[in-house]
Amino acid sequence: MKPEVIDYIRFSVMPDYLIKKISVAKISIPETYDDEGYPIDAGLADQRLGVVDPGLRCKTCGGNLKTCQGHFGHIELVRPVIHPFYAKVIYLLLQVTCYKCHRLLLDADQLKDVKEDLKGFLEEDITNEEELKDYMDSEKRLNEKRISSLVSKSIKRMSKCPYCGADIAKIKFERPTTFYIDNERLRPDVIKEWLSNISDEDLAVLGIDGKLLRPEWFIITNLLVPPVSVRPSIILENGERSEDDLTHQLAGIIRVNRKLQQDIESGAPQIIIDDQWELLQYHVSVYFDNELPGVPVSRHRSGRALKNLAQRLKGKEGRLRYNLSGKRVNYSARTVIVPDTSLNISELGVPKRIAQELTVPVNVTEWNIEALKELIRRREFPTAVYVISNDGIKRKVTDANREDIANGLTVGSVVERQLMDGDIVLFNRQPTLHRISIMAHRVRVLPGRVFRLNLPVTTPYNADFDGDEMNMHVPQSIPARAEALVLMQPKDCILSPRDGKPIMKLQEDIVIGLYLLTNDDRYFDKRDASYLLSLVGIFELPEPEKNGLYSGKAIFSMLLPKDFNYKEETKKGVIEIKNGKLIKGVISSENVRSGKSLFLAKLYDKYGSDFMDSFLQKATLLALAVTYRAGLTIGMKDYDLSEELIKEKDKIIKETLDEAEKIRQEYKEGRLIPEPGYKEKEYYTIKLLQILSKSTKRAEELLINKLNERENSPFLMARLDARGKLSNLVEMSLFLGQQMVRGKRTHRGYGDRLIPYLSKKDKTPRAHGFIVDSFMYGLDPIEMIMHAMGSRASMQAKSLVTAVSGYLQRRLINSMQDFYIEKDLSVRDSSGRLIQTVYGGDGIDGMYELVSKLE
Amino acid sequence: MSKKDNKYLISYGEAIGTVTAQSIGEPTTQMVLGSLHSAGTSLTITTTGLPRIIEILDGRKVPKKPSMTLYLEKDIAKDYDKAKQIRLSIESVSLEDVTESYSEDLIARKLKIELSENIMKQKDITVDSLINLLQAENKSISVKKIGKNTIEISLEDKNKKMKLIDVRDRFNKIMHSNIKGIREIKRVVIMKDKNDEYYFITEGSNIKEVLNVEGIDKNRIYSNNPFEMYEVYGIEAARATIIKELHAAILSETSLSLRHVLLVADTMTYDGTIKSIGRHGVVGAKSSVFARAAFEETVKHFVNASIFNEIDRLNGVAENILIGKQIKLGTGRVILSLKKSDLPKLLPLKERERSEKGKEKKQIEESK
Repeated sequence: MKPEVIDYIRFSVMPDYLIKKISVAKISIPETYDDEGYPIDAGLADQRLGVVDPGLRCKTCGGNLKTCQGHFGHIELVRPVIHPFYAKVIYLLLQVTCYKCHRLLLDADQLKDVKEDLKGFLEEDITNEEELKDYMDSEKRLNEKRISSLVSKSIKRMSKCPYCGADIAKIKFERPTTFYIDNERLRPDVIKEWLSNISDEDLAVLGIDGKLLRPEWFIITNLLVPPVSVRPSIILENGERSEDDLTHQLAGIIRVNRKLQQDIESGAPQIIIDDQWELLQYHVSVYFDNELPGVPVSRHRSGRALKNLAQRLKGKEGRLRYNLSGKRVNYSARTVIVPDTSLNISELGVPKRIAQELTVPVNVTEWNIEALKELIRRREFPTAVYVISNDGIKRKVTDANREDIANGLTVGSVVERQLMDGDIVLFNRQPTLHRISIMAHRVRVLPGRVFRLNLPVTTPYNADFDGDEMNMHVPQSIPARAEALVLMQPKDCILSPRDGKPIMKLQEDIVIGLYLLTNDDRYFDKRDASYLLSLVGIFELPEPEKNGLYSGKAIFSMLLPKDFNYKEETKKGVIEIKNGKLIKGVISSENVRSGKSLFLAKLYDKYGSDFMDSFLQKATLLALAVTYRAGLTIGMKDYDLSEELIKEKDKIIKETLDEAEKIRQEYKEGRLIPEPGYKEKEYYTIKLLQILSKSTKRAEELLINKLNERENSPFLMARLDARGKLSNLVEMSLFLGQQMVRGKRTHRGYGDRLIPYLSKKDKTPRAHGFIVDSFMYGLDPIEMIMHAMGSRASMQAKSLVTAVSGYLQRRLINSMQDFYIEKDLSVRDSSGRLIQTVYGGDGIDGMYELVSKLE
Repeated sequence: MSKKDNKYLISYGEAIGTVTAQSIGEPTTQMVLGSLHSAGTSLTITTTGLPRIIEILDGRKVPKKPSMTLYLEKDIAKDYDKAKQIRLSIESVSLEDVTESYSEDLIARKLKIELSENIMKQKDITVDSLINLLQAENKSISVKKIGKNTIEISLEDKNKKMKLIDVRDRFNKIMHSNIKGIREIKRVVIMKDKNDEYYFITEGSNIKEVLNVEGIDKNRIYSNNPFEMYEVYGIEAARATIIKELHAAILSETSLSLRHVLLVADTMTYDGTIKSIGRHGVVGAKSSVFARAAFEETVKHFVNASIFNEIDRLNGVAENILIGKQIKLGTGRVILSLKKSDLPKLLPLKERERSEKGKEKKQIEESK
């Protein structure tokens, strides 16, 4: 069976005759089920509308709840009502037509002018595809303004209808659905009559094609009732039935409709009938949209607002965004992630229990039939789960029928086997902010319950291991697998499409390891050198240097290709690689982490993705082995500073406070002369802030002078830019410094002080968030509150940014998602509009931005 | 183009819009909201970071902090005195700015102002010219000079019908009326560039007025408001402004290839007007009903589509996801085909071997 492909979709309004035609039942009873639990005939759960209960059969098509998708019914409204969504158009139509002869209020000349203006925009002018496209584009822009401009054109100029000479009536529209003509109520049946008398020619001028849509359809006489499968009732734990919101709303309509009928039949006064009619209008309006402005919200017994038709479609949890733009999938798994450096960057450690659950379909061919038979016969882990034979019958493989199925396997059938080593899967972490948040990995089935991945891939996923969970998807078709294999593996995504810099890099411990390895005075004896190299699968030694020792640089060079040349100046000095040998300098975080350096980019460009794949992993293993041997550990003693340092710290604080006091005195006495462009007070606050924040910088310098990289691991990490900053060290060991709220010193509070613990009008640095204690020493209550103020402000800002930037991203993507590169390197959108003549001016892929500029 | 360059070219069908949108959207998640980077410098406090990016992409008509960069004409570009003089004719001065003290008589509808001689001199304003200006600027008032530096303003309100509070408002308006320079330009700072040329950075922007100022190089007027550039210089200038401003705003936080900014700027300007990134702009102008409905204002788009019998051709991304068809982008855009001559390679192994052996035999026979 070939699936039918939808070519296009044309929107229209459901005409009354069509409602009657497709309706299978007239619904007139507001109840659903009788006491025995069976659907009531002509009730809202009439069996002709389809079934939602197992065991029952649809009275229209005879299907059960799986095969019958439901049929529409209708409610005959005693009096017509206005469709609330079309009230605005009705208003405009009433305004531009004569109430008596129902013709467009434009005389022959004006009509000619208007038609001239609209030339090319009318459907009758379309002769070919090209024109259709133009028409489609311009249509929307035109339509919205067309009618309202016509209104002003005709109404303002004329006082009498040019055709029948009747005075032009003043139409008043009161939201949501009430109309007045010369202050007299205009009833829906009158409006319907009026609208149905507007000619097709007149409608064409307004952009409405009378053959496809008649304006009288905007008035409802028969209300379409959706099938029960659209509004299934649920059975609660206590056995009670709970109806869907739509059913409730429809029941309300039926009740009012019945009451209205009774009133009419019993000859009730017109006022009562009108009231009831209005109530019917309300119920129908609210059935379509329960959030109409100026209309009371229809509520459930519990007080909750009902979710009616518009609410079902609308917004993030609506049908469009929740169920149609985003779909639930099978063949996926999710657990916690964990680091594993023994894996390759393109590999993914998959727990065995996940691998057992997920399957991959394999087409049986002449070449793999024997292997697949073998697989089906297996009783443990990698085995086949289902076999789909040539005629499309799916059979589950059990221990009982293994042999039979294996023996009967034919070429052309499909075997669904468990996930195995080497299979390709997609791996994803939310929020999926860029395309490298989904990459393809090769499966490595491992024991345990968690996904394992190597460290460099954490950056594109923006993952860490503090409990992050990630999702895995198994592609089910050969094209999908091929695509993943060729385009989506981490080794092919090393360069970021954002700026062309490497996004997968070496971080943290590995940076330290590389530093320790390639340091100038680092030598290993033969045993150690052999051990280190063997870890990364290299079984030859470099040239030994003095005393038969091997330098760390030489060992690292074994990872580099023999013809690689590189030279760069970094903060840690010049590094130079000649013929694949690191002859000068230290590999620092700048080279492998920051993205500033071209080191990784150049390797990638010259030796390709497969080389990078193994290089990143080998460098990781080597560096970690060196780190293990050197020993890298942190403890309390690293933060507990010597007395000498404490003294220095006290000095810094004293000097800072003195300076702050000095400038305060100057300001108080008016001796402070501001720099041009500043007001005195502004200048004082800025100057004071400068003085106070300078203290942190001084403290950092103090640590640089006094601490030793070899003895203090946190300091080493900060200096190597591997993890942490010097300011973190300062905060922990020395003092926290100035706390800031929105770029200012903490300043708001009760009256003349921030907190009641301070004395009033205290202007000292301490009273405005300058903290002289460290985390190691401990903060006093006032300092703690100041610190908390800063933390709170930054947390608030952070949660706000996620919301704002999330919406920005959605807008950007929705605006640009249809753009693609045409064969001539131009950028076009899905309707063929030209956005850019040559992409980016040079047609180069953003991923190769940097690499393409290398010599 | 060399073969090496070819390797770096963008591939046909690449979903470049999404790549660009992600490249700009992703770093914004890591940005800080409302950080004022320019602490320390007194001049040019501009919006930076995320708020600025949003401001540009929204295509707002008036940004929060409009600013202009103005150069002097080439022949006077290095003349500091000239620069100072021209600055005086640009920077706005209100009556309030030159007032030393004032007293108002609400009943008599009179406002007595003592002008500051010092500031008047600084701003190069004489009392007589001030009176003329005030008279021209405000309707139905009379201004009298009653002292050397004192003027009296009286409202012409013969019947005394005005309420006192309205009189107050009028006085307030008069105090804020612009007496020199361009109203929108609140401050002008003189700067010096690499070539020793003086240029102005202004707080507030009004290109149309600046064009009338003598001594300003008309070819080097720049405003950081794309909409104003569009109104005065046209769409290309607006595009250039968007590129410059957007790139600067993003680069202050993270690195970003210019090509992404170019594409966004082209998206906003390709039809000759500035369109915002959002429902009122680019998305609202899409031809597909579903694409618009799936973004925002779902019901409105469906209703309007039904009234005008709109057709959705289902070409774009959003529509095809909705109906479950393959998207015509990237690998979904190409159709693979096989050369007829390669067809035998796909035959099952045994058959292939047989046919190859046959060929060999034939060849051997032929060679014989």
